[in-house]
Amino acid sequence: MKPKIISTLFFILITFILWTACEKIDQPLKIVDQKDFPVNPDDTLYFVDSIIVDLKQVLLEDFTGQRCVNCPKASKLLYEISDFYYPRLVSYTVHAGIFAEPVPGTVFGTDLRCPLSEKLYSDFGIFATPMGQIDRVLFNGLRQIFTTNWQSVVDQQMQIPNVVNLKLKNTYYPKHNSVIVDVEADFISDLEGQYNLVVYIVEDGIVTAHLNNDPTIGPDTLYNFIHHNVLRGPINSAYGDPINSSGNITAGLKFAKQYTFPINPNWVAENCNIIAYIGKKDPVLNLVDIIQAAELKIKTEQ
Amino acid sequence: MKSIIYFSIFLLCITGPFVALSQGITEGAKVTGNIQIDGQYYTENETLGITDSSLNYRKTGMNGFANLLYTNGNFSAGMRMESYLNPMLGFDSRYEGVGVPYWFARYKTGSFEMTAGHFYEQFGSGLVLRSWENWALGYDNNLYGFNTSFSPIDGITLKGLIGIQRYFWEPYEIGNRGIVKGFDADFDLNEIFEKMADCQTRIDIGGSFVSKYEKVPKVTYVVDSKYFIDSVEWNKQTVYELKLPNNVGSWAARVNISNGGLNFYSEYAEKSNDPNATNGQIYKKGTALYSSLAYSTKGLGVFLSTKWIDNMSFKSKITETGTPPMLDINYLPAISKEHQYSLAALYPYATQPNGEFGFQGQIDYKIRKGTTLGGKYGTSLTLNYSLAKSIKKDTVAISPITNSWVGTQGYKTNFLSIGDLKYYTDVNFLIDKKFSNKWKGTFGYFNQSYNKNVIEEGIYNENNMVKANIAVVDLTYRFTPSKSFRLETQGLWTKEDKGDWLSMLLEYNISPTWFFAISDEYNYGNPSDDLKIHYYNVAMGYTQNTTRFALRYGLQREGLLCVGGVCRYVPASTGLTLTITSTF
Repeated sequence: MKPKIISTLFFILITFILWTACEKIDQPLKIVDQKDFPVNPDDTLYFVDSIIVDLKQVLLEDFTGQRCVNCPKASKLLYEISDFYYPRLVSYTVHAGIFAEPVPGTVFGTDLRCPLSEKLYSDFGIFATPMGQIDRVLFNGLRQIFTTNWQSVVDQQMQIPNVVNLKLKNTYYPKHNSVIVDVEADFISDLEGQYNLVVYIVEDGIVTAHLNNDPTIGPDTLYNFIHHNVLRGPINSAYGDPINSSGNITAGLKFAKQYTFPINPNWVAENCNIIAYIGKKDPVLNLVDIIQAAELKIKTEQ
Repeated sequence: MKSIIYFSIFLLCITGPFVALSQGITEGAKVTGNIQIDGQYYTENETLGITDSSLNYRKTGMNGFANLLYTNGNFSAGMRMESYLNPMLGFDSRYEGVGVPYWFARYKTGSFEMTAGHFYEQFGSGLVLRSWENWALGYDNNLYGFNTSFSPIDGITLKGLIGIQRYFWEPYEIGNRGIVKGFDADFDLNEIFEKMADCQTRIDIGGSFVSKYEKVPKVTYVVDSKYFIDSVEWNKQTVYELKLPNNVGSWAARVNISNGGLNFYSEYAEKSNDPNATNGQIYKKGTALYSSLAYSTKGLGVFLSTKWIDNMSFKSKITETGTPPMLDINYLPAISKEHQYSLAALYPYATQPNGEFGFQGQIDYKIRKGTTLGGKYGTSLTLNYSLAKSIKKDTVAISPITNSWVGTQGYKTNFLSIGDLKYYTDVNFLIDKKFSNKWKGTFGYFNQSYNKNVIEEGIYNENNMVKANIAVVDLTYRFTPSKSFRLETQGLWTKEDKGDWLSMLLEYNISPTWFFAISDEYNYGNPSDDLKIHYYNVAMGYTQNTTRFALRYGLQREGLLCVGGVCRYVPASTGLTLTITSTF
C-alpha cells in the first residue's frame, strides 16, 4: 500500500506544479503609455513646469479698476501680504465695474476687463472697488471684504489645515502659443458637499496708467503702473468642472484633468500664469469656500 | 562539436568506474548501429527551371546519419551523428553542418528508468506531447534533458520529463525557444485491481500535463488619434503592450477499452491561451478530441477514427512557422490514408492545426480461398474513406488596436461543430489477388478531392479544389523463387491543377542481391505544353549482407511529401542519387 500512497502524492504534486504552470490572460492589450503632441514634428518643441501644493493656500480675488483711486493702495497691501506669506497667497485682479471701463483716447484707453471678470463682479454682487474676496468665505456675514480686513482674514485662512493636495503642470508649445494644463487633486480628508475644480489664466506685468490718491505711492496719475495677475479668462469655465457627483468626498480620491488652451496672441505668454482652485458648490453663488489654490507661471523658454 | 565533447565526457564518467574496477565495458555488452548516406549530384534543367542559381551553385547534396547503440544489462547509451554537406534539395538550409544532435544514456533499476540526454517520448496519441523524428521529412524535435519513468505498482506507470527541443543545430539560449515540462500517468485498471485481472474487457486510462516556459518578446502597438484645437492638429498617441504568456499549459485525458478483437481509444485535450504565429496570435484556448474504434476477426478488419481539432498548434517558440513545422510539442494525428503508389500520393493531406474535423473508415476483408471470388489463394479487399472539413467558426470583431484578430479571442466555435468548407476527401478501393504461383496483382481505384488553397496556401475557400481519379495496376511475375518482374502502371485524371498523369514502372529483382528499375511519370495533361514532361528514372541496387547500395538517375517532380500529416515541400530536381544503408 505504501507505493500507492507515494505514487498518489507524487501524482498530486506534479499535477499541481504543472497545473499552475500556465497563465490565463484576460486582457491581452494594456495601455503602457499615452501622450498628446502636435502632429507637425516642427511643433514638438515644448517647455514644462510643474508644482505640487501640499499646504493650505489662500485665494484672494482683488476687484479693481484702473480709474479706481484707492486701488493702488490696495495693490500695495496685497503685495505686502503676499510677500509675507510667499508663496501661499494666490491672487488675481478682477477688473470690472465702472472704474474699470476704459476711456478711449486717453491714457486709460486699455481695456483690462474680460467677460469672466464682469461675471464674477456681477455674480458676487461687488458694490465698490477696491474689494476683496478671500477664499470666498464669509466675514462679518459678507463675502465682500474691505482692504482693512484683508490681513486678518488671510491670517485666519492660513491656519486652516490642508485637505487636498493640488498638482499643477503647464506644458507650453511656442509654435502654437498653446498650453496644456494638467491638474491633479489628491484629497487627504473626507469632505461633505460637492466640489468643483476651476482653472483660470491671468497675465502679470501689464503696464498702463492708474489713478491714485495715495501720495506715498505717487502722483494722481501713475502712468507706468504695473498691474499684477490680471484675470484674462477661464481655462475650463467660470465655476469649473465637478469633481464629485455625490454629496461627499472620501480621503484618497484622486481627480485629474487635462486642458489644452490656445493663448490669446495679444497677451504676453511669458507673463501668463495658470491659477487653479477648488471650491464648494453653492446653490446661489455657484462656488464658495475655496479649500485650495495653486498658481504656476507658464514656462516659455529654457 | 560541443555535443561530441559533452557526450565523450559523459561516456567517460559512466564507463570510468567499470574500467577502474577492471571490469571491461565490453563484458556482456552489445553494440549495434546503422548508417544511411544519401548523396545527390544535380544537373541543370531549363524546362523545370533548375539552374545554377536556383541550386545556389551547389553541384551536390549529401544527407547522412549513423546510429550507435551500446547496451549492457540495464544500461544503454547511444548517439546519432548527422551530416548535411550540403543539405539535399528540399531540406532546410539551416541543417547544413555536421555534428551529434542526439545522444543519451539510460539505465533501469527496478521499476525506475532514467534517460539523460536526448530522447523521444509520446504521451497518449500525442495530442499534448510527441517528440519524434523522420529522416525523409527532415523532421526532428527530440528533447534534450531528462526523462524518467516510474512504476510504483503493477499497472501504474508515471512519466516525467523536462527538456528543450532540437532546432536544427541552434544551441539553446534564453528566448530562442522554450523549455518543455511534462508529466504522464497511465493506469491499467485490470492490473491494479485484482478483481478485474481476469476480466476479458481491458481498461486503461491515462492523463497528461505538458507546459512550456518561453521568454516571450515584448510586442507593442501604437494607436494615433488625431484631433484639432483651433487650427492646430494634435495627436493622442496611446501605446498598448500585447501581453504574451510566458507559460502555456496543456492537458489530456484518455481511455482505452478493449475486448477480444474490439478496441476503443479516445483522448481529449485542451491547451491554455497560446497566441502564436500559426493561430494569428489569438487568445482562444485550444481543444482536441481523437477517437478510434477497431474491430478485427479472421478475414475482417474494421477501423473507424475521428478527430476534432480547434487551435491546437503547440510549439516551444511562438514565432515558429515553416514546412516541415519545427518545434512542435504536440502531434495532431492525420487520419487520412498514406498511399504507397506515387500518383495516389500526389495530393496528400496535411493536418490543419487551426481547426479541422476528420473522419476515416476502413474495411479490410479477405475472401476465403476456395470460393468463387477468392480463387485458389484468396483475395484481399480494402475499402477506405477519409474526410477532412473545417469547423464552424463565428469570428469576433477585430481589435481596433491591432486592426486584426491579434489580441482577441479570434472566433467562437462549438465543440464538435462541423463547417461547410471541405479540405480533403479520399475514397479508395484496393484488391490484392494472387492468381497463381507465378502471378499476383494489386488493383486500385482512388477518388480524391484536394483543397489546394487550404492545404498548401492557408487560404480558406473552395476556389482551388482538385478532383482527381486515380487507377493503379500492379502486377508481379515470379520466374523463380529469387527472380521476379514487376509492372506498375498508374493513371491520374483531373481537370484541375497540372492535369492528367500516366506512370509506368518496370522492376526486375534478383533476390536478395540485385534490383533494376526503370520508370516514367508523364504529365501529359499539363495545361502548358512546355510542362508536359516525362519524369523518367533509371535505378539499380545491390545488397550485400546488411548493406545496400542504390543508384538512381532521373527527374524528381515537385510536390509535398507527407508523413503522418506533417509535410515537407520537395522541389523539382534532376540528377544522380546514391543511397547507402547499412546495419550492424
